[in-house]
Amino acid sequence: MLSAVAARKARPSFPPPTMEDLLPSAAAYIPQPSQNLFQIDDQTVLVVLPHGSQLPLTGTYQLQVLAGIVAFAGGSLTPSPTWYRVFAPTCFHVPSIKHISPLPNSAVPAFVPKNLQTRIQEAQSTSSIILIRSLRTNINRVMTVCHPFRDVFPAQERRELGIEGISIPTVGEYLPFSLPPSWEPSLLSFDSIESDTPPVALVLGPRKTGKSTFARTVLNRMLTRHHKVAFLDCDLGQAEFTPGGMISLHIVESPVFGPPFTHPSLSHTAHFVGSTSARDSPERYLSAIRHLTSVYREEVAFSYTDDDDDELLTSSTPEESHATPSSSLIPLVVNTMGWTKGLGKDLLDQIIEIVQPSDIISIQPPAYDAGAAAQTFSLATSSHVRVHEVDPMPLSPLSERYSAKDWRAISTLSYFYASFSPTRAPKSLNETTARDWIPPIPLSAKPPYELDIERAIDGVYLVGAESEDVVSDEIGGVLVGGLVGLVRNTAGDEDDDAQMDLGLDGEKKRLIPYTQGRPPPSPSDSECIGLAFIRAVNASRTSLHMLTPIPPAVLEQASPRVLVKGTDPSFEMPIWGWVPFGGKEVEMVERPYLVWGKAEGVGATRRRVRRNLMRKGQM
Amino acid sequence: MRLPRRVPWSSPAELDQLCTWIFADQPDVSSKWLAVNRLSAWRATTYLPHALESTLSILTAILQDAENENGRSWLSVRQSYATAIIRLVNGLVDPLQQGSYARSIASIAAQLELPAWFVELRHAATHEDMPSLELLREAAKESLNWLLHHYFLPAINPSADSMHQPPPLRSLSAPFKQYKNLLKQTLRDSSLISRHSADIGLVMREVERWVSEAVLASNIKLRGLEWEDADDSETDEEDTQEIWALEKLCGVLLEEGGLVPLSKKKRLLSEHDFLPPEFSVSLWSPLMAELQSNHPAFPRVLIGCIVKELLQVNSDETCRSSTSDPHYLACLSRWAFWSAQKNWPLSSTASETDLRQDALVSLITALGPTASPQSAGEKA
Repeated sequence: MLSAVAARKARPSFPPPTMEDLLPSAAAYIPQPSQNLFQIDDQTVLVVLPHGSQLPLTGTYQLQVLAGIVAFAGGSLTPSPTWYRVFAPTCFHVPSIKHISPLPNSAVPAFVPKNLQTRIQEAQSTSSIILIRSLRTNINRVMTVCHPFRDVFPAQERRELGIEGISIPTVGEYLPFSLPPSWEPSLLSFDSIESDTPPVALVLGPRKTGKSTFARTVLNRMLTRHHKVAFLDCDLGQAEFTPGGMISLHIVESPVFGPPFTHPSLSHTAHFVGSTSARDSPERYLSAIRHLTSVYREEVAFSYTDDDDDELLTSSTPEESHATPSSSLIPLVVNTMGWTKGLGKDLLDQIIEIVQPSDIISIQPPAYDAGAAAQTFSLATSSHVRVHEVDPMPLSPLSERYSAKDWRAISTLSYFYASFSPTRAPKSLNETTARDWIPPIPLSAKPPYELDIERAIDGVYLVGAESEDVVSDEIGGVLVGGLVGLVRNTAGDEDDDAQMDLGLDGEKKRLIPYTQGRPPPSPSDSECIGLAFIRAVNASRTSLHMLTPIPPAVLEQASPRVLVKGTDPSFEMPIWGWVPFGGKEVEMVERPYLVWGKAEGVGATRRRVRRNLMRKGQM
Repeated sequence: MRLPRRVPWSSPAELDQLCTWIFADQPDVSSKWLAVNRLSAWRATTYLPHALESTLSILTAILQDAENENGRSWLSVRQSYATAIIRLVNGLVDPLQQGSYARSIASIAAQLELPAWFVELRHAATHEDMPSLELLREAAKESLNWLLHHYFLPAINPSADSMHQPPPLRSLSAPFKQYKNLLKQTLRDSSLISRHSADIGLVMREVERWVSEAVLASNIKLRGLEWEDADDSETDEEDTQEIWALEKLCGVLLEEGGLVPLSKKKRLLSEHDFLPPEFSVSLWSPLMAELQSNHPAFPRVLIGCIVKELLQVNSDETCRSSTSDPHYLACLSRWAFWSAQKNWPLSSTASETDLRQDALVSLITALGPTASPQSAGEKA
């Protein structure tokens, strides 16, 4: 039963599946040292995966295919010297590695011992041969900060494969990665698009139907044909490459295998919205998407040069040339928000209008969502759009265990502990995904940047429904403890005379440059470099302490001199970032802005809404 | 261990300061403006407690009123007041709607010691004629006063709120006794059914009110034991509170003279089936059906309580008063069986199976292989 589910995911893009592949015949791989498992060194093993067997792995690892075609995470991998980085925590669906068909490869890496070479020669006519190598990134340590995710990675001990941090889960210990069968034809169509313009795939559908999974899968599959793929994230609540609260354009070079919190990235270009929903500022949301779409069209889509990628091109063997990224176009994947009713539907219609996708993947509302009408977006207007209507993913038991808020919390923490490449040139088309994480220390103990407000900050703005009533005397208090967008004003200097105030002695006194009710710079005149956490503002309001994972070199180059804070409280530093780590040993000491224990008094908690209340006699 | 909550104030002193600004007895409004500015700023940092959000709306309306001396638009002043009152009442009442069905707002307001006329005002302002300026001003004054005593003082002095501890739980025995009397009369003489039906309804509502009060009281009694996010766990917590209240109720039901009749001759158990005495079933099933319709968890809780009672007897002898009496235990286990196989309305077949499985699983785990032959015989 379970293996039937697991086998369904094995939909290779190449070659077409045989009947045998579709049968629920895949058996679990059982490691047998010196027969199908060979230790290469302390960190690496060689696995011979015969026909019909599959290997699910949890933990973090690197994967290289030596021979054979392997089905993995909704796509297929062919022999190449690439080490794929895989993050497979148990809080997420876990992909299995499965042999599809043999594809011999003569280029066995030099580090494989000679005595194994003959074994490889023998086995590769019937099996896939893969290398599994440990991947140490500290992500498992970041997980311990956020209690709900504390044990999603296996313990750092040698398990079945003899490598630390990697484990073969038993049935029931994990949720296997599997895609609805109706996705394959539409995924397959992206493998063969021949066009002068890069494909633009927009994914939409209600919440919890698999939008992100589809977007990630199509992104990974496009990367087998294209060197780079752009990703436009319009989902403010659960973003793929950022903690959310912003609309961002990313350039991706290597497939992303893992949940969003395992690949935090700096954006190519982004706009800060400061909320987990577009509800309070729909116009701002749309104009941000409009701007990023034009950035993609003008600066990304046709801008690929292979200067830095010679290695990749020459490395492909003749056998896989048809699968080689032949196209130098940079396609775009657009992930949208799950809000598909009411105003949300209007917004989606307008996003389609702005983005002008070549393909729309419309995930249908699940059968249990009786209230959702069939999605009829105004797609029909442009006849050259290919519309793929696909089934939703079945509701996963994990969606019960983790809420959107939990995912946001772990993404935010992962972002703040991420270690980004310090030399990334802004606006280059290079990937900027974090490779590893710093060992987490409490945010209250991390050394901050100290900013001289007068010299470093040109403007402070608030966005959101509660923003207009904040007077300038109170702005310092509003910033403390806030997640802010670090924004660069691209339209020139601020007119900041308004923030000068005459002190009692007639001397000009400098205040935080904030004007009540002033809207932040528009997306066409600005961009968001990243997020920062304001830890303190001094009493005289002249300097502030902030934490940000953005490397100093990038900060210096981008020079974000504007702070924008959203007033939507669902976009804030998760409580796990406030406490000195979620062990049982936490003392209930008094800390600013925190209250331990039950809220006292009536109405002491935030308002909650109940929408499912029935009236007597209403059944 | 429980996570702390994020609050907008850096220390309790800041909340105290705000309270002073709001309730300062000053003729001018300058300190109220300070309070409004501070609250507006807090609202831009994190979730504002509902009481503070309401305070902000009321203060804003009062200031708008005070500075409307040229008499620009009194309608907009009235609308500000009205919105503030409507949102105050709704926000206080909604969290206490904990059953599957709506309770009357008036009954919840009474429980919160909210003046009853606020509820009328809320209704009028929402659906009827907009109330007069005079009435709205009075309501604003009263509601600030209510907020001072029910929110600010307990929040600022968490330990000194003894005067506002909810009253101890009333005893359930009076309504149960009344219920039994009424039901017995109608069971003996069915012509009385129509005469008593109104009274029976009243008693059932009384029991229902008791459950609501117990849910509220459990607010104080239950302290989080789990290390979890205070915000996220609120929904679970509601369930926990409801279950706590239902367990209390079942405790009373399980006393002798409750589900198990006091008189020995009424305890005669049928040899042919494994059901409680017929008379007891007809006596209690109307109330149980009512409880189940308001609290779908009721059968599960009842079975859980019975199983616990039986196991307690099995494990040691320090148990309920006269419970070495095997008749009492046999009768209880029949009630558990009855509840497990009863076709409760609204519950799907799946959950019935669950119900039976749960009961069985908890029995098996507790009894294990060491079960004494005596208790095993009882359950056979």
